[in-house]
Amino acid sequence: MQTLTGKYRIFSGLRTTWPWLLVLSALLYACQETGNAEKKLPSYDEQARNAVLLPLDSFTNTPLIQQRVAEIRQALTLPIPVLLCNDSLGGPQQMAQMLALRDTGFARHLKNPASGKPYRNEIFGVYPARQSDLVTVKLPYTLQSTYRVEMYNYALNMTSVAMVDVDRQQVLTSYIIEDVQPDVSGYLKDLAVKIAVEAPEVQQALGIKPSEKEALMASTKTALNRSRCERSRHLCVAPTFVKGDKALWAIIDLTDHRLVGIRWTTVGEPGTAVPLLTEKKLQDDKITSCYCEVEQPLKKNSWEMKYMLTSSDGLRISDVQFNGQPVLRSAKLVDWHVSYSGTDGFGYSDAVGCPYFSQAAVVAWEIPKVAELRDDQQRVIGFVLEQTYRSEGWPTPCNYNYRQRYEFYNDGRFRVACASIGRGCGNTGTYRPVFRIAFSGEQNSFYEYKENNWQQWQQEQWQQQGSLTSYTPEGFQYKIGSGGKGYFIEPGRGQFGDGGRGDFSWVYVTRHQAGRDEGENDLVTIGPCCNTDYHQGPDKFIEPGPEDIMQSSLVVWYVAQMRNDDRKGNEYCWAENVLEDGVWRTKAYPCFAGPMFVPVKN
Amino acid sequence: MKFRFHTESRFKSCCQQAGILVACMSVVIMLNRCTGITTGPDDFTKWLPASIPDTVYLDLSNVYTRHKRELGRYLFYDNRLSVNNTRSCSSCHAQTFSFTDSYTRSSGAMGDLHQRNSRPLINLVYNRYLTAADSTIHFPESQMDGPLFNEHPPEMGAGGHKQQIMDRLKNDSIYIALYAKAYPGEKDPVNWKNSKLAIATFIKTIISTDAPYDRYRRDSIQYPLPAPATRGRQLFFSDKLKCYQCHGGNDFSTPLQTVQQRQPDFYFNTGLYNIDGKGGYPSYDRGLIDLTGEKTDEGKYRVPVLRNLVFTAPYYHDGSALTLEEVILGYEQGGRIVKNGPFAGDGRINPFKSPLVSGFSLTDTERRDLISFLYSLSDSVLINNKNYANPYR
Repeated sequence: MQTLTGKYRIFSGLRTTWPWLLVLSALLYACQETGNAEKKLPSYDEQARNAVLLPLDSFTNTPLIQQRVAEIRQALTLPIPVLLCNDSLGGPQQMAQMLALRDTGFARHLKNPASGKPYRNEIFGVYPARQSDLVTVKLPYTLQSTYRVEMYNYALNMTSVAMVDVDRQQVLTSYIIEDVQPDVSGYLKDLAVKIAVEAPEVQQALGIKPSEKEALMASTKTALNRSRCERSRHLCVAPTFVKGDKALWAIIDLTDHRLVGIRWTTVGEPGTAVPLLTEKKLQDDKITSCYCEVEQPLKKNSWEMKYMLTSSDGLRISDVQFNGQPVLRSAKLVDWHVSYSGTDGFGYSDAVGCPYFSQAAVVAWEIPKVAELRDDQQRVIGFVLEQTYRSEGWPTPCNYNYRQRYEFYNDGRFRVACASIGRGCGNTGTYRPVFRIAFSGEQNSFYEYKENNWQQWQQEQWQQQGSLTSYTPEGFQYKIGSGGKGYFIEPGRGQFGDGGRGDFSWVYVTRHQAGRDEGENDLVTIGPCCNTDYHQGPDKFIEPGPEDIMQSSLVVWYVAQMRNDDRKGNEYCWAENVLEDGVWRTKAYPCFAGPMFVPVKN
Repeated sequence: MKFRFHTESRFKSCCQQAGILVACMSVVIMLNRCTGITTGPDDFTKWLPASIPDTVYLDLSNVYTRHKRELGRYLFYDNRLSVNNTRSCSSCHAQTFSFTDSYTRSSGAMGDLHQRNSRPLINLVYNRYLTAADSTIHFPESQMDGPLFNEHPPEMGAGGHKQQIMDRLKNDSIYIALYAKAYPGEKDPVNWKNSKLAIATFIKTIISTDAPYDRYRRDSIQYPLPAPATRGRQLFFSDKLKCYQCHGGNDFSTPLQTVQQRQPDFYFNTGLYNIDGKGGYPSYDRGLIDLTGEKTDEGKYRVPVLRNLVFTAPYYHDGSALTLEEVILGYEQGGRIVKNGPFAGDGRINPFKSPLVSGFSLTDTERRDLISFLYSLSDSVLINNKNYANPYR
């Protein structure tokens, strides 16, 4: 009504002259284009191709792409229409690949059921299996002869995984994960680099044609809003070229074999590259043989558990007990989502894992470390199990350094934590580590502290920690357990003395059911890199039909958010090379995140 | 009710250009032509909700039409307006984040960081001063020259590439049609002037007025505020905190003394920095002093809009506060203390700090209540409003 009043005031002088106005308005309208019906505009896809993306599409007809397209077309005419892994595979791996394709579960989506036309499927990798891959397997197997086969369906954007014991000629288990993309093969990584290097847009931006070996992070999956890479609907990677204090991202759509966009980020002062490669090979051998192939037992103070390095889910602990009482079925670090733009949605889906078993960009650098935890008075209050992961070129730009840490206290508390040591591929990064924490017990319930009370969650759901989040006076936000036993969950708010500035976490709770794998086995990258909302991956186990979670076996997913900062005096998730005493030294500013679990005392 | 269109001198010029005598009737008609105020689909006021009793600032030389607005919406979301096809206006002003970008400082087409945090492009027509530290810019028509053509640092990077960028659009059948409708009768309508006017037209229609607090003000019975927000509101308007002294008006960005006395004092130093103990701010961005040269203007920035804070973190002109708690704690202390680095200093004793920032104390609950109230100013309808959405989707 007030607007009408306003209009009335503006036009109040017109009341007596309205016939004039009517005539003149009619004349004015007559002068304006009355217009025909609105022309129908092209669809989004057409727009995306023609308007929003790079205007040039010069590379799609090069011999390299023509050859790839010919291979695809030829594969689709085969009885089993699958592109086999193009990486050099040994005999047993090739055998595993073929056995997997004969498994009805693994090969469930080779063709469109309605038309019978083949989907494009491609085996991305065949890797030696580890115990972390076989958590749900009930059949007998021989670890040394078992392989993990990963296949990607481009049309449906889903991943099929099969565990195959070649000696027994048997598929031990197979499953499909929707909206998930496996690690890309070496062949596809090379293809992406070639497309990037040859692209005129990249050459124009850099001022030269880069060499293939300059491309960093080429196997790490990415996304880009307003392109087919958005929310990882297509398989996309981003070979990245560092030039001075900037990095050029060439975002390559491997579904369509084209460059979909370039983006610049600032990586800070380049300094001088000081990668630490000494004896890396020896370290890799030791890590692999000791910690990737078999679980290691750990018994210390009142704690007992097993641990091992997974392919892409970091250091996994399992069967965790305190004073003989089961605490956790397992805990692991599924992904690092590293976003460099909230609006363009590009970044990396980093995985951390074993050196030889993974295409993950960031691999275990040293053996897992067990060390004592001490308080301010240097009294031993527990111990820490810690794993470092690092890109080979760290601390130079576009290389990553992560730390994963489990803290176990003598009083029964424990903490699941991680850190990025910087500096990554830009100074606008947001790091989102994805933890999966599966609690022991079949009768657990989950509670949130709200309005001065513990309120029980009835169904699978998620919650974000924010400025209005309620905490108990002790700082607890959640509680999990049954029968008066269990754990309070205390999210990071900068209180743990490790420099963390708060987790701003999403917490998801899902129900674990035997016989259904929702991340119990090693997970390939979960979810897209760069969503700024709750779509971080675990949501796929909740939506569209959340299940009842009262008195159930529960899994807590914890996704923290850390924003890097390169401002002097305020650095966070950052690293830089500085000249000290005449030599280059690396200064790192880690950002830590992760919740503390505190026993509920009766 | 004061619903006035500030015509500025451009209105006169618009009318003079039309060569029409300024008789009473003609003025009204020209107002129609210059502002697009009609009762038809080209009525700009349809974007202005009834509930906002505030002054409207419009560059009347830019006549509103729905076709111009639609062209502007396409251009706003088009990466081709940047030198290397990588950034559009929406890159730093995304609807999801209430037309900001969620980053501390925005980066341009070449990856360079801007010195400022992206500001929300909402309710611009209700704001006399649009930018953080330039009191001479009142309309988006003139403001956008900065992001489009700046070179230090380049944002869109269009400077020096104007023709090349327009040529991209000239060959696009969609744009040929959109420009023809927006500028009927023009021989060569695809040019920068028309593009800027169209983008400005679109931006001016981005109106955010459907926050819980707006609904509460419209009908407090049907839309009561939750108890914490109600308590927070009392704090906000209390004599203890006096937030309203600077954060008045429809967008909580108009200082009270300005409302009452019509003094154009929208710029304040809130004691964020005090690098040298003499009121120093980081050299790359010193506030209003960079425009006026007056030492007392060092560290002065425009009072920010308090709407949609849920979506617009981080805060301050340089994005240096990640959370509202940090911001409020700064005000509690009567200025911010920067402990480390080259910008270390005690903002509480900045000699140019406004005396209005004198500190107060809050309990944790009170601070949360205040945040609840501030959150109640957030309009989730806006971020899903299809009128403002990317047309390419």
